[in-house]
Amino acid sequence: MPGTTFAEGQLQALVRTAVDGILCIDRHGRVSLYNPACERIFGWTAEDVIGRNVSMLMPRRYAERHDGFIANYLTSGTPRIIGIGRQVEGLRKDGTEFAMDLSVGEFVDQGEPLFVGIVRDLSDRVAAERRLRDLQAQLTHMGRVGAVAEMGSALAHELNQPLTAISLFLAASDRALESDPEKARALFARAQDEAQRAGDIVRKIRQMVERGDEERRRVDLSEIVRDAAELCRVVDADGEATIDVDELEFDGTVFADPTQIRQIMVNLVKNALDATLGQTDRRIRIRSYLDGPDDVCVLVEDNGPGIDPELRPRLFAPFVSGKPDGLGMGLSICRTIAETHGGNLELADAAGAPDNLSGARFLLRLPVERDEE
Amino acid sequence: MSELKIAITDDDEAVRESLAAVLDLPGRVIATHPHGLAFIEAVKSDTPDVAFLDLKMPQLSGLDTLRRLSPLSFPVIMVSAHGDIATAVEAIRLGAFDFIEKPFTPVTVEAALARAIEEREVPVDTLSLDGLTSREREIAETLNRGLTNKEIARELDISPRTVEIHRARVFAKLGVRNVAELVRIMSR
Repeated sequence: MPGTTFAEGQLQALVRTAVDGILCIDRHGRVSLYNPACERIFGWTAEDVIGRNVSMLMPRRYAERHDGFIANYLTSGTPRIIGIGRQVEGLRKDGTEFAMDLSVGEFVDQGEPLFVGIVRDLSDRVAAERRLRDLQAQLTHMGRVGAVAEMGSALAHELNQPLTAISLFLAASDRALESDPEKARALFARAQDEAQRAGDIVRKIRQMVERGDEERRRVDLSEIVRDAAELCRVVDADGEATIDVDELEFDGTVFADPTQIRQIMVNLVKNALDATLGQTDRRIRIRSYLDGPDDVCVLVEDNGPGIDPELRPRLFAPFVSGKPDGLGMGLSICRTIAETHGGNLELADAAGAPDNLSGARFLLRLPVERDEE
Repeated sequence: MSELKIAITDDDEAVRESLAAVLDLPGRVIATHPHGLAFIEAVKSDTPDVAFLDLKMPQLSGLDTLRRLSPLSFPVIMVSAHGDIATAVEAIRLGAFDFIEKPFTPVTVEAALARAIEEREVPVDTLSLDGLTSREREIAETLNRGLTNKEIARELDISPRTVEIHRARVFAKLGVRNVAELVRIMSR
């Protein structure tokens, strides 16, 4: 390279003392350079590795295909990792796998291609991230359990309705069995309907409190929105509020953990129910729309008094609540969930289109999941 | 013998219809109402012999319905959510005859109905709390406030089992069969 002033000895010192692992392989995958940092990272000495195939440093699932990757690159010229770098798994001498950051560069020496890899051990960082994710999962779970606990007595009341009806319909059916079998059957069918209703309520509660590992998959957002609205209708046992849900007129598929997104929706609708409590006219509206090609938005608005201007700047902070006995965790957790899904949750300004409701308006934004290319 | 007229008011259609179905025996006429206002309207032209009235209803609650019907000319059995004893006791004070807790069985319903028809009332002048021990009087007083056994146990710092024993003695001495009857005579 023109302008290079490094002497050979300095270069060697650089490689020897680098904190990151540096290694070099040829077109056959054979290792020709392996610095002391690599020895610390992989557990193998330079003597063990030099001259052997680099695949010994990879989990088997990569190792088997690695020679193919190099050959493919040399014929097609399409890089999979060269010049890019990414997080991959490495294999230590003791057989354990670990996360590492690998960047690969290429150069030509006397007409032969050579590849230089720089390896950074990420296992500490990955472990820390996993701990953080676990904590976050615990927190969101607590948030869900808290929400259900708050709704507890309303849910119990709502379960007692079908249970009462089942017991009475069955008794009446039993009595009519001989005198009027037709009527008995009809009463029996009504008992079955009520059992179904009780089951639906229980299913919805379980969806909320279930722990489960965070599980993201392709889900239909409209289904989650509908489910959440239904659960909230159950909680609003007096049925005083109208909860309108606009049907999605587009493909609202997102890549998300349905339990967590449902949690956001239930929180938002529950907040709206609380905000409008005591009003004679209580309206909650949920609208969904596409915002640009990449975002799907769900807007939850109510006709309550709106958010106190003093509260607005801190609304999403933990332990901040506009409710007299609120814990102040709901929105904070919901925003975290939205952000970990690559979206966000914000207070949308009260002003706007004339058909907007007058109270608070929350906007959940999530990235649209496209079909696999 | 004339037919027994029973009115049922509950906003939950399934509860309303199932209660009607189980009460529908020969010699009875059942009228159902989806809310308190409809019931109040119906009472103007046709007084029932007994009424079942749900406590928790939108718009006009069971208590408000009672207030508007006061003074009552027929026995009303309140239908309450489990654990909502305090409201049920408030209803008794407002003149309701009895209350049953959801979820209830047909046996409970018929028993409450039988008591309402019988209109068995403890004569007020014979009622005296003098025969009660001081602990029993405390129990009677807390029951009258609508507390549950557990709450009474906590308030008086005794076990729920002890509350039960005292409660049974109070009922026996006063000749009442349930909390509703106790509240009814104590609020006179």
